[in-house]
Amino acid sequence: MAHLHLMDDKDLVHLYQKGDQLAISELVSRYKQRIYSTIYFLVRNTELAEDLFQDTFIKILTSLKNKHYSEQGKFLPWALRIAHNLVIDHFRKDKLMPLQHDTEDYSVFDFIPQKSRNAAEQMIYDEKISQVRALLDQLPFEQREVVILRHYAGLSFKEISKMLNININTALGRMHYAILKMREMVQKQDINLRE
Amino acid sequence: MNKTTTQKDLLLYAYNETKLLDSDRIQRAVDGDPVIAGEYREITSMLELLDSAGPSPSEKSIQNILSHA
Repeated sequence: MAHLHLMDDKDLVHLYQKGDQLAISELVSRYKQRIYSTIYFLVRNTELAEDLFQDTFIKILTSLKNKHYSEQGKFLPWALRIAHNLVIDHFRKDKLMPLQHDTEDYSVFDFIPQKSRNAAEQMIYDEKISQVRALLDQLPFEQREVVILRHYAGLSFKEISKMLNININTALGRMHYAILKMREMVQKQDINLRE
Repeated sequence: MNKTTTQKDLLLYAYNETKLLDSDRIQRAVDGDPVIAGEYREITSMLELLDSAGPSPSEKSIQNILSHA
């Protein structure tokens, strides 16, 4: 099927339900970064994020095959709800708070598409990535959750409030406090905001 | 910060979630008030910082998912 990238989510879901494998490939490609980033920044562990990312899409595929997907909702918020529930289930099951981190020799940021940089630029870039990751890690979970869902997952504040079952002003307030805290940390740690 | 433009307004505006009339009002506030302009710059600079750290899944995970399709 030509022009899959021009089709909307609903039509891609229909095509997949009729047996078109390329349609799901397009949906994965369209949302992989947002869904993966959301999971990664919540669990802060690459291996676990990769597992939960796969589990999320396998659950999505099963739901689509069994026609459990309602067209009334948008695909991304629905998919992110599945991802978020799997993350929460993981924490509940293991009675863990998200405190695990990547090891030094294996990092999620290895998978970020690299722009062409010389060695010195790459060092500065790597340092910056690590600083941003540290900033996010230091935010309280509820604030980090809103930052991730808004910034990396691309949900609107209204969608976030529905997903987390909170008032939109609460979502905005958490984002606001997260920005204040990050700004304070940037000033304390003298992080350069420009690449 | 004046009475009609709040931090929440600035956040919604930064993420393009305001209605046209509100956008116009907020942009005028940013243009006309150095305090609001400073607050808005702080927000956008933090958002730019976050932009620099978006991770992607491995190709292996993608292939595993597609093998279940």
